[in-house]
Amino acid sequence: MAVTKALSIEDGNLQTPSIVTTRNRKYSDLDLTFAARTTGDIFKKTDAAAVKQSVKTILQTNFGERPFQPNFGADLRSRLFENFTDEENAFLIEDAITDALKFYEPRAELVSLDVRDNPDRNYLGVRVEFKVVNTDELVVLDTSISRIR
Amino acid sequence: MATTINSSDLNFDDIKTSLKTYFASKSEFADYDFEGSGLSNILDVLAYNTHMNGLIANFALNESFLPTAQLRTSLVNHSLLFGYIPRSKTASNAELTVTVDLGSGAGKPASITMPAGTQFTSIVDGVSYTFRTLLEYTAFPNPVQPNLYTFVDALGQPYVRVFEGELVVKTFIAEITGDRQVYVVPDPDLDLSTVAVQVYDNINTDNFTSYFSANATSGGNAITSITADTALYLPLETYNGYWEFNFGVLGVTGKNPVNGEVIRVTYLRTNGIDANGASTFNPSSTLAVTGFGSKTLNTVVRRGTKSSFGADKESPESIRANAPLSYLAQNRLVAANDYRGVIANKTDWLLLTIIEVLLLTVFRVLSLSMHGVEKIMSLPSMVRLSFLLYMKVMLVQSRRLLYRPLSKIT
Repeated sequence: MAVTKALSIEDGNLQTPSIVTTRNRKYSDLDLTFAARTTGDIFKKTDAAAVKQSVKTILQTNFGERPFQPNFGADLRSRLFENFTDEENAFLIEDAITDALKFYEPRAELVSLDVRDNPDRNYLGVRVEFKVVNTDELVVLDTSISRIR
Repeated sequence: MATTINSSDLNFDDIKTSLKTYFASKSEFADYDFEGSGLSNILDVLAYNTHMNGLIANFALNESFLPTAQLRTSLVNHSLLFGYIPRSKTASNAELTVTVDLGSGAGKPASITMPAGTQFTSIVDGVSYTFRTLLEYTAFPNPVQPNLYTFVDALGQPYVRVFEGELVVKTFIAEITGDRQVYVVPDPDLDLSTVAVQVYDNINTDNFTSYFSANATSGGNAITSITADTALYLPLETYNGYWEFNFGVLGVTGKNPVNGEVIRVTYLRTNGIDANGASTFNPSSTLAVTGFGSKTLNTVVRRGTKSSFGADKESPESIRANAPLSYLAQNRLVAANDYRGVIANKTDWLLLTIIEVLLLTVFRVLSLSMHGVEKIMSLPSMVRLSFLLYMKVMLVQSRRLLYRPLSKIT
C-alpha cells in the first residue's frame, strides 16, 4: 500500500499531489455448489474464481428472476426459443452478454465472446474470455444453455 | 462498525443495504457489493424473506383496526363489534301511476286488485331491467272517468312503488345437531331491505311464522325486549360477501327453528345502482279482470322522477365512518349526532348535508318555540312568508330522501 501525504489547498500547498491510496481488494465469495469442507464450513471462491462464478451467474440469470431487479442477467434462455438460422440472433446474444457484464460485473473486462449454436441438439454454447481487472488474469468461461423440453 | 443487522425496514433495498453493511464489517466474504456474486444472491433471498415477513406483519396489524383496515371483509367484521351491519345492495325503485281502462261495458267491479310481483320492464343505458311490485295494490274508478281505474297506495295516493330485481326464494330445512346453525344465502346481490323470513312448521304445511330482522339499520325494527319466544333473525355479511341468517341462541335470545321446520327466505336479487334512471316502464303482462278479460296496464312514472335509490354495497370508507357513529347513536334519536348516524345508514353521504340543514331548521324552530311562538308571529309578513316557504321546501326534500317502504314480501 502506497501512501503519500499532502496539505490541503487552504493550507497553501497547491503543488503537492493529493492523497493517493490504492488497496488491493481480495475477492471472496461463497461457492455456490455449497460443497462442505471437512471442517464443516463451505468452500469459498476467491479472486479470479469468484469473478468467474459471478460472470456465469449473470449469464444464466434471466430477466425477472432476481427480486426487485427485473433487468438483471443476460436473459439468454429466452433466446433459445428464437430461430437460430441467421447471424442476427447470435449478434443479439453477444450484445446482451456485453451489456450484462458491463452493467453488473465491473471486475471483468471482456476480451472476446463466441456464441456457438447447435440447433439439432437444442444447444447454445457461449465462450467468454475476460480479464480480471485487479490482476489482469485472463479467464475463459465456457457455459451452455439448452432446452429441456 | 455494524455488529447487528437492522431489520426494521420494510423496503427491500434498505434491508439488503443493512445486510451489506453487516458483511462490510466482516472479512470472510468481500463480494457482497457485486450483484453477480453468490453472496449477493443469498442476500437477495434473505432480504426478500425479511421484506415479505415485514409486509405481512404490517398488513396483518393494519387489518386489525377499523381506522386502518383496507379489506372490506375486515371492516365488516370490525363494524360487527359496533353492532353495525353494513348496507347491502339496494334495489332501485320508482313510483308509477298505473291505470286500467275497462271500456264502456256494464257490471264494472268496485275495485281491481293487482297482485304483488307484477312486473314492469325498463331500459337504462341499453340494458333491460325488470321492476316488480312487492305489495298488492287496489284500483278504484276515477270519479270523472268511471271506465278508468287508478291503483292507489296505502295512503290513498295514486302511486305504485316498483323495485328492480329478481325475486329469489331460498328454502332450508332446520337440522339442529348441537352446533349453532347458521343459514347462508350465497348471493352478494341480495337487497337486505326486501328480505322476508318465514318459518313453516314442516314441509307439508302452509302454517308459518314470520320472523323479523334484528338489524334495525336495514329496514328492521328496533328491539326493545327479547324473550325466548321473540321471532327474530339477524342477517350478517360473510367474509366472502354473501349473507348468513342467524336465529336465537338456545331459545334465550329469541326463537330458533327446531328440527324439521322449514325456513323460507325471500328477497330481491338486484342490479343496484345500474338500474337508476329508468323513466319509461312497460308492463310485462296484462291484468286479468273478472268479466272484462285481459287488460293492458298503462304506466306513467311519477312526474319529475326516475327510478332511484339503487345502490351498491356500502363502500369500505362508508363503513369506516358510519360504524362508530351508529355505535354512538345506539339507535336512539336524542342528540344531533344520533340523527346523523341513523340517517347516514339510509342515505348517501352527499345527501347528508341537506338532511343536516333540515335538522338545524327543526332545532331552530324548537328553540324559537321555547322562547315563544309570538317571536315568529311578530316577524314582518314577508320574512315570515319566506321562513314558512323555506320550511316547506326542506320538508319536501326530507320526504323524498327518507321515504322508503318498510313493508315486506309476504
